[in-house]
Amino acid sequence: MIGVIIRLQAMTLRGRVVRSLRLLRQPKYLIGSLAAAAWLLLWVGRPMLRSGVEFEPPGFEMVRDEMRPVVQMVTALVTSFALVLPWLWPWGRPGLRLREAELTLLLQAPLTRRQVIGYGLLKSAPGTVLTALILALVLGDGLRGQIVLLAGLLPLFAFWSLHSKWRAMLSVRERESPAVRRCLWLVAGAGAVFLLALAGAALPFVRSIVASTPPDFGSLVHDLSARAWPPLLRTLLLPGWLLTAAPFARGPAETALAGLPLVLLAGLQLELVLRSRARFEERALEWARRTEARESAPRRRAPGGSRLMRRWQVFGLASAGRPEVAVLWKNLMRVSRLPLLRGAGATAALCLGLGVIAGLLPAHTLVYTLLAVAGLVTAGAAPLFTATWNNDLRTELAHLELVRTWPLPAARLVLAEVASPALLSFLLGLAGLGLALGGCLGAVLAAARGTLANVPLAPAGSAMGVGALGFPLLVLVGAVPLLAGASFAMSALQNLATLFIPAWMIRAPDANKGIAAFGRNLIVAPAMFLGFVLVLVPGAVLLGLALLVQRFAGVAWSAWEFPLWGLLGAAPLFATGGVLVVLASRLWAHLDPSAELLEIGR
Amino acid sequence: MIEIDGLFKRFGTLQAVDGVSLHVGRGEILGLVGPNGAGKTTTLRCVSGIIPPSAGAVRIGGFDLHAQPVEAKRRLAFVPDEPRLFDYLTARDHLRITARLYGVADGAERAERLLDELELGLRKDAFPSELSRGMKQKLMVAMALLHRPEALLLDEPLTGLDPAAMRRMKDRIRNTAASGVAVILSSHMLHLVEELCRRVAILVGGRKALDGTLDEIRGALPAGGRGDLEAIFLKTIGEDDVS
Repeated sequence: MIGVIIRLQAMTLRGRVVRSLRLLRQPKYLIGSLAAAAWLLLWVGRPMLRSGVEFEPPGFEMVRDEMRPVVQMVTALVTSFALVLPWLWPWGRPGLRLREAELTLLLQAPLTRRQVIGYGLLKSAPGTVLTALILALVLGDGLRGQIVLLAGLLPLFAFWSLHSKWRAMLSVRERESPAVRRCLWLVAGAGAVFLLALAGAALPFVRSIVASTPPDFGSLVHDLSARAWPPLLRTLLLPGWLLTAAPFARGPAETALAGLPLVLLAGLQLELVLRSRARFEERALEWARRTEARESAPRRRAPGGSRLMRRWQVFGLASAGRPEVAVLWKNLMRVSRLPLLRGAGATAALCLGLGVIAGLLPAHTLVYTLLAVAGLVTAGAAPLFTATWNNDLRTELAHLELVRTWPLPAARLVLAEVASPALLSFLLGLAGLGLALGGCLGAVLAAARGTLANVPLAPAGSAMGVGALGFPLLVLVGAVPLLAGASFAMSALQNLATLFIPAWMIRAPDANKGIAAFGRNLIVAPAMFLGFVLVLVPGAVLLGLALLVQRFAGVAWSAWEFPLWGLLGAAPLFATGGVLVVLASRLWAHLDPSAELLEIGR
Repeated sequence: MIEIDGLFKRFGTLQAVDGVSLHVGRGEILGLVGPNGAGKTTTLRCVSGIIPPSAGAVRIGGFDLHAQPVEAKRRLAFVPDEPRLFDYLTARDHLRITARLYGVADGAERAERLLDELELGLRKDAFPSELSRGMKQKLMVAMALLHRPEALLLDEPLTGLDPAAMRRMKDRIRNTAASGVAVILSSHMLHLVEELCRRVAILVGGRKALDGTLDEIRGALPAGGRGDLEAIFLKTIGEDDVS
């Protein structure tokens, strides 16, 4: 019977792959796949297959062999912590991770308990094998080295996975049996003592390494290899060292020898899990429901929120008015129901507060710099976040039977869909700019109070004709249109791509699983990033030209020009975004979702 | 009110809808029946503008769905067989957005009234995941009726409803039609179609095999039909010897 269920799984996987392959009958998907395959082969596959050392920094190969024992010790240390910590704090894992549909099928099928658990274990096996395979491909030296490394990694990962399952089954059993609970308390106590001893032995050693601060990477490796590890630390690390010996072994024979204890331990744990008397069904079902709810509605307020929160709206939506605003409203609600104005006010107060607090406290220059840099990085990356909000046509495609019947002109609907993630990214960017401004404000306040000698941006400000606070303020004003333009253009690009290759872009619970989805994302993510860079080019060129012209004309740059520069750079972004929206509107008006989305006639 | 002329829809080599023409007047309920894969849902999807037809024309209230989609859709409502609601919106939110999209002036009051009438009054602030299949179906119906459509397309509207709710839904469909709305009702529940619809169209293999009142359909059958819609239907699809 278990064979039938495994066959069912294999057929499901086959169905997904076939479905993806069928898309290739359309030239756009075929060309996209071929381009992606060429890209992967050229930049990732070829160096990986030739030799695993291609990714290593220059000079690394010389110290690689020298580093091996050090890396193994560090791996043993990490493994020791990783294996013991779950005994101290099990994180409420379910015994087995199965979907609700699988549980319904398995629990009513004429299967023994051992077979059901076996199926649950088998389900996680592909993930284990795939991880080992990827690591072996990346780190292995040549084909032979990759195979040997795979042989070393597989038993380690199998052991690790089974250990986690065993612990999870025990935490289910713990609820049912006081004797098991007492045993686990004892184990947790022993584990805590072990970890404390390990930390106690490792800390002085780490401190001495940090204190020696070698000037370069090679010296650090030499230093670490030459240094004698404290005997207590070596003893405590021995179990971890033995467990991780297989991947570090040299040659097939050594790997086999080192892997043998791991295989035996994995076999023992397998038997322990299969024989477990834990009633895992309820926990697995609870986990499955929670996971499926999370996947079907990412980012939404979980049902069960207070009555007041359920009545929150990002902004009040009256019955009268422009209908496309309803689409924007709906899409913003997907991310959060928090009223926009309230959220904006709180964020502004937070940024300002952070700046004032940092200014009043005797803080190091680094604090203000960190605040400013973190804010600027957030603002700079904000347009890329349009891909993460999941509140545009990508998710709308899962509700075609509703959305396509709405009486909205294509251009207005697309514009509303584009505006939704763009607005959120813009607000996130504004928050980033606010944080940066907070950092600058803090520095200015600290300087005024005499606790800071130099305001970091003051020289740049005075060179461009403004004060220490005026400079970041003008940068902020100049960045606002750029941020808005970049967010709009990025969102427009994303939505155009959604309508051009809907089967690859759709965000729906069933569409985002499995190896096919993984491969699809490998294609889409770099392509979108490349598209975004291309979208930025016209604005950057125009702005660069304007600056050059001014320079050659002998007119000095001034901070007062920042807002103008911002507008100049943003104009092409808005224009490009507008063109993309028009193109997307045409695609929406002529969209036939039959084969790619509704899956009819295939 | 609903005019479908020579509708074709092809998916690759499959002719899903093959030259279907149907006309439904104000206040009329047309039953659309047929075996699985006959093209009922595809026809309704084409009429509601979800998928474009390969050929043919659809007019709603005199507006061509292809040339004037906004005007046509403003007069139309579609209740699909599978209620796909937005997971992150409450029942009240769904009606709120519908009111704005269709510009229903008394949207808020009408939404409250519809929710109460469809026994969803106590679940206004519930998310779809907290509603049963039947409740979701009712919410879809409430959304469809909110803007007082002139043409209503229903695909298996009674799925998931309990007997009492079924009775109320049937009354509602009847009353909606009585108020002048043209209704197309697609269902495998032949007794429901027989009870509610004045006219019935039977689709087989994407083609309209029969169209008319029950008596007209009986008369159109080669050996003269007898019995209820189920008997006629089975005879039409060539399964009349099924015992």
